Amino acid sequence: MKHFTLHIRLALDCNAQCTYCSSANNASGRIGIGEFKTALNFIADAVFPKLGVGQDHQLAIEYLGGEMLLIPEREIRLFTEIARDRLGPLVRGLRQGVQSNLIGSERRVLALHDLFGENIGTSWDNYTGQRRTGGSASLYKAILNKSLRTLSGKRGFSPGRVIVVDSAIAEYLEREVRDAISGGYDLVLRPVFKGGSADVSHLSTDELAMLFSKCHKIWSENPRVRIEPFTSLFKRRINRGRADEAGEDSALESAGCPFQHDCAFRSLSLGPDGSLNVCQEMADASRYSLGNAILETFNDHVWRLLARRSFRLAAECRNCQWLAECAGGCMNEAVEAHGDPFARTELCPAWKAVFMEIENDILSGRAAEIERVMAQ
Amino acid sequence: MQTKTLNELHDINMKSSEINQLSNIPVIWGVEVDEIVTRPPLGLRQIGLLWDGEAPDMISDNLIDSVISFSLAGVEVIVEIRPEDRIDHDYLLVIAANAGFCISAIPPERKSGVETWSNQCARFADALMAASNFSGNLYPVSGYLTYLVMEYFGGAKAAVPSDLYTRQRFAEQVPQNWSDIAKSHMRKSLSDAAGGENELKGYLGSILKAIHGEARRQRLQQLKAWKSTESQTAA
Repeated sequence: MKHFTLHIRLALDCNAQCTYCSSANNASGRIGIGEFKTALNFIADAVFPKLGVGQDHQLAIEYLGGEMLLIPEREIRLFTEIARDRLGPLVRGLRQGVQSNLIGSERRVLALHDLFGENIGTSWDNYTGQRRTGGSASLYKAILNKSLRTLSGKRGFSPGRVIVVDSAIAEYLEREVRDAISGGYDLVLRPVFKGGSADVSHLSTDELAMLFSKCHKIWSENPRVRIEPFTSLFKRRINRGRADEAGEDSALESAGCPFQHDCAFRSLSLGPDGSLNVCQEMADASRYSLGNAILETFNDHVWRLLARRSFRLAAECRNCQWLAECAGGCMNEAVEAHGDPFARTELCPAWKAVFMEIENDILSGRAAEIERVMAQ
Repeated sequence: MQTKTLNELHDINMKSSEINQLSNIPVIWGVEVDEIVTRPPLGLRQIGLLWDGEAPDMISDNLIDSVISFSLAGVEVIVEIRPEDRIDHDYLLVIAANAGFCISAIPPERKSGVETWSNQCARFADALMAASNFSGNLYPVSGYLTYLVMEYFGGAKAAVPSDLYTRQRFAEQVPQNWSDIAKSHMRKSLSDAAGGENELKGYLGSILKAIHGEARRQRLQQLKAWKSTESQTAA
């Protein structure tokens, strides 16, 4: 089973003003129903065949922001039905999910859950106040916490959360990991990228490596929730040499962003203006446009260039002992740092620090216990 | 356009621009890439594309695009290395693992090329022993390793290849004495890489153990899933 992710942004508009986000205060409107149908028809008829997406694939459609809660409930339902009916028959399995800040009324949040079930993720920052709505971090936090209580109380569901890791959050990150473990929710630690906003404040790669190393240790002592990238990298490393039991679950498990060199075959991003890119981060950074699905254009030349990454990884990556697990890392990161999709990502030291921790766990015999707890 | 036979095309040193003149041939090999084929001929399941590189560790864009095109069409791709090709064997195994194609060290046309071919096979055998994530077919090394496992632990004296490519490209093309020379080179290389004959035997044993262990692990998982389904049904 192969897997493919289609990122869809129905709008860039957002009701929040997070300091590191490209959608802060955006109000550029959303894609129309007719345009959406045209775009999906083009993707189904012209793009998926080029990318080899078909009956071997598990397709994950991820709706991203802007903020989905700004789109009327009836329209969200209609968009998802159109996507399901048009793309579902082309693939073996289809799952639709959404990333929402959950800054909305209780009714809207529950409606989102009714539509997407447990395929809802949200953004998280419990300490720095960089996430704001109406200019207020405390208002953002109050509304988000209310939404989380609603989902927990009325649906028994706690969404996975994404933390953008920048220099402001560094001193709180270990606490965030401990909170996730004690709170029983999944967490993704995602280093901030420059495409989002001009105001981002990066950690140095050494600082990030040290921080991820510490956070991995905390997770590995109690790995009962999924903390990314630790869970995925651990699983990949521990499964090295084991047979791949292809199945739906297996395909979702191995869905690999940002640890893949073949993004050109694994993901596509559709913007509200019809713009096509390999992923939403490349879209944010306006890099390597693949065309426009509303205008029914696809830039085969650019896609072929990006598709060559599996063959053109940098020598440092080809010779790395963790290539099979890291797969060269994020192509967008490589472009961001070096202007070259085939270069080594700047985050390499951070991933290596995590791998070193995993190797220590294997050598000390702790890996078997970690695996046992994860399987429970 | 008149359809040509496979032999006619091979006689004229087949090019990728010519393969659409073929139909219902499951395996084609020895194809030189001169243009990107966007629609492979019907019935094609496996294709051998000749190596084309700008340097020993720099595969050409043309060959990359061809591998991608055939792979997307569901055709298994084998990149074929001629005895005289200068390549970085470790590099090729890494990108083959990344991109999911197989590799073949193809035999020479004349006896004078046997030593060069055997050395090519030996270098691949050495690279395979060091490769951490290559799981595809490396002709003829993978087949020879399988034979060694059978020989060591099953007492096999010979193995008959079951796949069409190995039969057509090797078994039917290579005289026995050429094959013996290549095997001898590969064996020495495998033995050296393992650290000696005893260590090679230990390595072959670990392959068997790993296969057995993996089969057991999968069987236990299936059993666990089956029991879980049963208990849910009962509830």
